[in-house]
Amino acid sequence: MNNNSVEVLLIEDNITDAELTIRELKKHNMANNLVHVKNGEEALEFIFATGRYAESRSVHYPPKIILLDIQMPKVNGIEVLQRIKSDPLTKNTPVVVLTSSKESPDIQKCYDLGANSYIVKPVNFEGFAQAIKNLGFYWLLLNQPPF
Amino acid sequence: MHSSITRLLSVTITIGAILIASVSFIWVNDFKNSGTLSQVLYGILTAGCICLVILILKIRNDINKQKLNEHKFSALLDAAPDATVIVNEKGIIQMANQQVENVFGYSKKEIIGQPVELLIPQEHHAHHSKHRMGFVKEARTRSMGEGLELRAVRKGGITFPVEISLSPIKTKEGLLISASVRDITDRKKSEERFRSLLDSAPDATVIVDENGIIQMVNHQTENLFGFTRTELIGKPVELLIPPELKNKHIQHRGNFIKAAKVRSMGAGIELNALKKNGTRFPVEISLSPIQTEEGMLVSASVRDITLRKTLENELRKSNEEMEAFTYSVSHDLRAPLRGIIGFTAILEEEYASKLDDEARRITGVIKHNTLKMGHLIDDLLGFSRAGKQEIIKTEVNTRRIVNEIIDELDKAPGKSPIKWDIRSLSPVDGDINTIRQVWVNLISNAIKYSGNKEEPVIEIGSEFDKGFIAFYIKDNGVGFDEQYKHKLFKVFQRLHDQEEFEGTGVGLALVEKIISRHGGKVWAEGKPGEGACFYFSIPM
Repeated sequence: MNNNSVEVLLIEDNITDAELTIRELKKHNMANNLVHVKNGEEALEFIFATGRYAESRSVHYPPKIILLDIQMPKVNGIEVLQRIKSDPLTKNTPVVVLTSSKESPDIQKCYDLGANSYIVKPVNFEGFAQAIKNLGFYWLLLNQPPF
Repeated sequence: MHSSITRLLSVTITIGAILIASVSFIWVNDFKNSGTLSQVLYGILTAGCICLVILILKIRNDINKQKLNEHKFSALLDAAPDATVIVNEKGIIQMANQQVENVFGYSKKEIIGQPVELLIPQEHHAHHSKHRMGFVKEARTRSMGEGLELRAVRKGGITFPVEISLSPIKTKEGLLISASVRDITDRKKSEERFRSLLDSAPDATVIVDENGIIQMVNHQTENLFGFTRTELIGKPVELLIPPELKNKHIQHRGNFIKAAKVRSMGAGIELNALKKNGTRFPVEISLSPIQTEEGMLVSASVRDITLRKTLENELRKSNEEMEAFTYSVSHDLRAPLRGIIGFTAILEEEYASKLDDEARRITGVIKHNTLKMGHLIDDLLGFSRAGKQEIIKTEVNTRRIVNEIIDELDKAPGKSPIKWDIRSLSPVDGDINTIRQVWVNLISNAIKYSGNKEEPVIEIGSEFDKGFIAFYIKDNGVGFDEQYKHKLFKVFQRLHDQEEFEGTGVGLALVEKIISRHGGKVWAEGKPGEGACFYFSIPM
């Protein structure tokens, strides 16, 4: 896949969660153009076409949807969200924030920063699978992208 | 020519001290034959007699007037409230009033003519005569207010504290000094009592006048601030305040004087104060205005709250750490559980053909236990939160909440329908989220433990009881053995089998914690096989 034809950018540090998410999307044929990055730093490089992605990426081809895990080491999800939503070239990209707990005080912060959606990753699998399936259908099939 | 006076007669008529008439007669024999000189002399003699009489009368009047004045003076002196002693330049007592007898025990007679040092304790004699001489040199009135506090000695040798005021009296015979002496034993006693009260006060007390000048401090003030009494009295109170807060404080002081009323410690002002060695420390202050004749004084109690502030900070930090811990725990513990369940599901789905019934049962057990752990984490987190979070009280519409919860929870298909008996449900003042949690836990318990009954009935109501609103939820389910009642509301304590009734053992402990934070109580009754009734009360 060409890095510029990415549809889903999954920013998730937990490998298990990532695998489950990708499997679920695959089940519904929504993972054909999926890129998975494991930390915020790499995510920013991918989105803004810098660092290791300077050659293979252009900022003018954003993904259709970004799935963003909030709790990540080093550059955490909040910072990534802020960077994405404050840059005119990228701020229209839909970002779905994923988190483990709904007690997170970051919920308000995420919406303040412009997150499009906020999903809690439930422990039980059916719930998780359902959430991912719904996500996929909604943002990749139903929703009209910004351009 | 020999003439001679044969008779002399002088008649004076007075009414009281007033001369009406004075007549003098001289009989001279052979007056006609006396020479002119003699005649004139006799005339002068006669006139002289009259003058003499008048003079005698005047002298008598003067003496009387003097006596009268002296009498008046004496009476005035005697009427004076304090003992008055009038002393001459040499220090000899000229006069004393009646009070002297009361105060010193000497009668007037015993005192007059004695040196004034009679009334002064031996050890002060030298000092006193020096003072006396100094006073004579620069005599001016010295009133009681700026009085000298001395000790005096009464007849019998007992010394006592006195306050003295002095007035010089200039007379023809020289300077007299009038000394008023007041026995201040009682006053000194109550001053002592006041001072020792002040000193025994646990907090530092500083008394300040309208202008902010320190009038009095107690022992604790010396300890707390590191200044001695003498270093503080007479100084502005701002000495005890950090320089950057001085101006604000002066302003506050002025405002307080204007609208002076007692301000107690609870409503206390928290300030930073300054020790002698320059360290700042947090204090809580309470203020009382004191009206005196000399104007308003302000008494300030100063409490060092360094320790309290340290503890408060530690508590706050510890709470923040706890919150951060809770936050990361909820994230970090749940993720692996998700993994376990997710991958077990994958196993079940994608390897279904390779799994026999037993294998599927096993994967079921894996998922079940993992889910349970997830619930446990949720419950524990909720429990620890409930203990710390602030209670925000609003009016809670109990009836509405209960109905909502019943709609949510009573959804089990295929089970015998529950008959809901909702009685009066009073609204309460409480934290809406946690009160809701209480209802959720109790109602879901009632539903759960009625699961095996044919016709489950759940009754919910409220009563007023001595300033509390008591709610109850009664079911006719499996009940519990009252023998183990004391374990009901404890964490992880369950009175039933895990197989029969699922549960983490945290639900009721959470209820208990929430209700006790509201200032209420929880309790329950139960009979095995017949049902249970759970109560909780909230103050009105």
